[in-house]
Amino acid sequence: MKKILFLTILLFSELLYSSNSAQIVIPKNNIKDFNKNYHLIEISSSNKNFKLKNSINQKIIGNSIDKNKKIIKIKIGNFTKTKRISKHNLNLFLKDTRFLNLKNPKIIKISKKLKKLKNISEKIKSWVYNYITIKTENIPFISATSILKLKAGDCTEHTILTVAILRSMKIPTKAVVGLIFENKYGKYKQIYVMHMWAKAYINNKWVIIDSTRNKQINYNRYIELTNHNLETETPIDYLKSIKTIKNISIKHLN
Amino acid sequence: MLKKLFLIFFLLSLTNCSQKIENRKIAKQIPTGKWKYQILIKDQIIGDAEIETALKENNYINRSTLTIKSKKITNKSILVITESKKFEPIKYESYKITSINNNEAISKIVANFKKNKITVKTDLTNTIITIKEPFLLEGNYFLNELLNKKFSQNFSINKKIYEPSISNTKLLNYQIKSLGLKKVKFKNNFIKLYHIKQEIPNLTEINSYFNEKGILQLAKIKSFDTIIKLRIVK
Repeated sequence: MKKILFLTILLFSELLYSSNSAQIVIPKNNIKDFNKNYHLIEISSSNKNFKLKNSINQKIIGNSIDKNKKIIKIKIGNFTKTKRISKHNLNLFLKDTRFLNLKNPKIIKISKKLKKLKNISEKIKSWVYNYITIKTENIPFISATSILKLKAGDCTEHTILTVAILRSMKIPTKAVVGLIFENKYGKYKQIYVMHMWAKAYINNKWVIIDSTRNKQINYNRYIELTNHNLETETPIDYLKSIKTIKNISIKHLN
Repeated sequence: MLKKLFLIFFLLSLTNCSQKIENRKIAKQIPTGKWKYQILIKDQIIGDAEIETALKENNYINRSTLTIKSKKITNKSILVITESKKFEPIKYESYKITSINNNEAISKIVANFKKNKITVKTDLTNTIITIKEPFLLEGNYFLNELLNKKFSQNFSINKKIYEPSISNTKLLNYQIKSLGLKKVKFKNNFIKLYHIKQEIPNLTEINSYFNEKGILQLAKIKSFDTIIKLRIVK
């Protein structure tokens, strides 16, 4: 009514990953040793419908409800393993959308150039990281074509461009929304920040491709909350998931 | 003592306010005009918005503009909804303009409606969608109904709307509920406004507050764990 819904959607998609809207979670305790293979974490939300899924970097250990809080215990680390997935199921992650612009000649040219290289995931990550020279927040959900033009953005823009290049190479890729552990983020130390990254199916296994960092990534820093299908600014499934995240809190158990 | 005086003054001011409200006449027609808003997070202004409603050639034209500026970037999002005087969808146009250091990128969605057929054009795509159920756009229908019912408490509307920033192909359930006159903190004062809850069930909800003229004064949107406010300037 009175277009507030539209404004909400825009604000929602623009500000979710922005530091000034403080989409961060300060864990209840610090991590003493971050070099462990995995971390045991307790994550809670005051919405009982809050859910997490098993993935290549997280294993659900247990679910419980305590004083109207849904508490999920998870292990986060690298649990990647080879798994054959049918073509039919993978086709979903090859789709073109209005944000990916797979038919754009520039996207096709870049993917053809990068496809020739070895270790594609690392090369694409590095290419996107170096291409987006203006590392900045507060850009609305824009298309891969616009990202190529502006050469600017935060995790959202890095992910959209990464997904576009990988899908253009016919590599099934999804966009993931979640939290990343940062040792330092602005004025904060040791916090979880709302983040977006790509996950690609390469050599029969899913791997994380986070183009916001041009270095080796640690799977034990990522908490996967939901996927984003990149078809609209705020897809239905994504909104459903985000709605269950209320007064989120995180406790490190090891 | 000072505290007591303050309390008395405060209660008096509220009484005055409510007395004024009781004499207020609720508008009978959808207000036309242009209104400016501030966008706030934690009471810090992060951008501005403008909502304009005009009646041209028997069609309502609703234009909303959202601008968020930071040091290097200006983001401008414009939505223009054209609907007939009977609230039948005619056109939905959304433009997003991002400018960084004199470099500009524009993306658009333009949807044209002809009965149940929707032609959606984006920067690189052109799609035709057929939707069998009746639907509305997020235009003036809901406000018109609320004004007709004089914002009566517990009055509610459930309709299907088409909103391509959430789904290109599926209609969304949209619920509006009038929660009556509420005392609302507005800047440093408390004023009475008509509280309306707008909801896409299980997806998102907005609490908005209107004056008796049907003009939005304040909207509160919860995004993740942060409250975003839209507050009228003039």
